[in-house]
Amino acid sequence: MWELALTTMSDKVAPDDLISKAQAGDKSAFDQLIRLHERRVLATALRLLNGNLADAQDAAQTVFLRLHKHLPGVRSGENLAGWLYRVTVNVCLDELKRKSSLVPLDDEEKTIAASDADPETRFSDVERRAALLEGLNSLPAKERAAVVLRDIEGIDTEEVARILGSSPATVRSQLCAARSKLRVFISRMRRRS
Amino acid sequence: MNCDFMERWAALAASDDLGEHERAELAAHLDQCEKCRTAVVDFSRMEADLASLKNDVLDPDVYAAIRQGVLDRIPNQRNWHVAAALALAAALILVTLAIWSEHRSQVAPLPIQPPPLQVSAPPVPAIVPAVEHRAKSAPRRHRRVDINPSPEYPLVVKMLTDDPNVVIIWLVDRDEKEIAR
Repeated sequence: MWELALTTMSDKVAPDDLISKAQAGDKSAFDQLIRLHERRVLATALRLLNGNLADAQDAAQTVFLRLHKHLPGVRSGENLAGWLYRVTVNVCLDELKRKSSLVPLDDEEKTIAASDADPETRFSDVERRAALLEGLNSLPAKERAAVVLRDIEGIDTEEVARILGSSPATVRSQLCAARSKLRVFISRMRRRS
Repeated sequence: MNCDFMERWAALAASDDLGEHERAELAAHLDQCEKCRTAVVDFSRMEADLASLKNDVLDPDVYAAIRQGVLDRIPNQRNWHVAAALALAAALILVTLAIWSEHRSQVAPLPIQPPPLQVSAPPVPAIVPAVEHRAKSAPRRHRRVDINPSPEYPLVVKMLTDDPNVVIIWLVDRDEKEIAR
């Protein structure tokens, strides 16, 4: 369960002594452990939960409480970052299911009226970024998770597959579909602007 | 291969997720397809934009709130140990009491033999069955026994049960033969 590749994640493994102290009940050590991983957990949750910061904060707290619960089972040298990514994705997908807040891209596309605006109109960086985030939020949850982990967090495809509990081929397929949808989405937003 | 198929490969090429053979085929196709070259450029730019999202910086207060929320909900380790020790001690006491109670009931069973009910000719004092000798846990069904010692009438034994509507009556003659029930 914890056997994720360390080659690409060596910088993300928490120091063993920190884990040992946290296992012994040292709250200060656990606080340090949270600080070590909070960016990746919160950023991932934020992207998966449609940019809703309050929901992402709740999800991050849930993830770290689960980490505390599972601390006794953590062994020296294990990939804590991989475990945290997996729990973060699961917590966020559960939250999305609970809220039923998924908006399929097809539905989103209906709200974007075809425009006769000049395609060559300058599409600013800010606008492109906004379109990218909006398009990301409109993706199906699993495709979004693949894009967040692979393209934003920069985790290699094999490890993304392990985190998502699927195969590399499935992840490639999800990435391919998601990127194509994003490209269409951004293109429409560009024409619209 | 057609452009729809190549666009899928173009989407994966940006993140270096293509094999050698696929990459070579895509390169050959791009040499002669403007539309797919545009797609590759779009995907590459999109990859860069997505990667830049990782550098987004959130307010440090947001992280602090998360940490505080987590640490507040974590039980104090020392208290937890004390609570666990107390719970263990209580469990041990309960188990010891249960074993002791079991052992005591096996070593000293109640040697109670109810005396035989002897009802003979009068004047015989009423003999009350040994209700007191019953085990405490057994339900007490018969509460009282009334014996009529009159020599002119058959001996009557009436037993009252817990149910006030149910009364068991024996009629016994002097020879202790049952007359009615």
